[in-house]
Amino acid sequence: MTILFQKPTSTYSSRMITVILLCFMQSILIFSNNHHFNVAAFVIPTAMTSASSRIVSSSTEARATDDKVDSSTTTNKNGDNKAMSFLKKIGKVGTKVDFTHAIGVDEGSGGEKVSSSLDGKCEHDIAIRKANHAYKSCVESGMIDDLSEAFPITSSGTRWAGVTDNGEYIILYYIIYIYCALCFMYYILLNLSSFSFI
Amino acid sequence: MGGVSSGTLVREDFNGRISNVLTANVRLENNGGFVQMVTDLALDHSVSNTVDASQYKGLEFDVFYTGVADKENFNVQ
Repeated sequence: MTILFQKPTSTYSSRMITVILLCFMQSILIFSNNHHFNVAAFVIPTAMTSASSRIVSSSTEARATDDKVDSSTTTNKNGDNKAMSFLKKIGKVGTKVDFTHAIGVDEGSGGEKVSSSLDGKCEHDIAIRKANHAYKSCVESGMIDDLSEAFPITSSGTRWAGVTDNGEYIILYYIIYIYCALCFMYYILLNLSSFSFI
Repeated sequence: MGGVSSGTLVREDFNGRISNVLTANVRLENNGGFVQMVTDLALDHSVSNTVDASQYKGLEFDVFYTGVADKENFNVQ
């Protein structure tokens, strides 16, 4: 049996909108399937993002300082125009960033706050991820993890992760699939009268 | 449709010893009922997804369970 596609009863624009909508939903579905798994993994805490958060917090402090400065000089004392004031305000120009505790590979951890859960390592120390070839595979060393590296990195260079049976994403996928199927069926029914069966 | 268990995995001091502490509320609804901590043995997946551990006889690790005795199963895979 062959289905021929003839002129539909609906307008061209409405059909295009339906097709675009279906394509959009399909793209969402593909994206979701590529980025989630059938089981829910825990979010691994703290350590690996500490460097960026430190820099962001430093910048934020500096911006806050600049905000104070700007609020006291809103009359453009230095002759800056509004654009310059705006750039200063958002921290793009003239930001006084405190690099005292910024990350540097040659810096030690003196004076830094040491977390009890990090086995004597400072947060910015563990934020520097070693390259894979810097680790020795567990079959070479005989050790999978001696807990010497910062969590969640193992001493053999891999990562720990927690997994549960939690299937909230699976339910979401089912809902999206059902919604797409219903939309597709609705589209078919809408244009059923325009199909010709031979 | 997936279970409803939840949990956390952190590195912390447990009884004076730095440990990976897996804390979870394991529930059996929706045919669920497990929680696990996993790590990959293969360091470079561009080379291989598995490792050749034929020269070893087994695994050795310390596990401390604080839940109700005989209520949970412990598996190594």
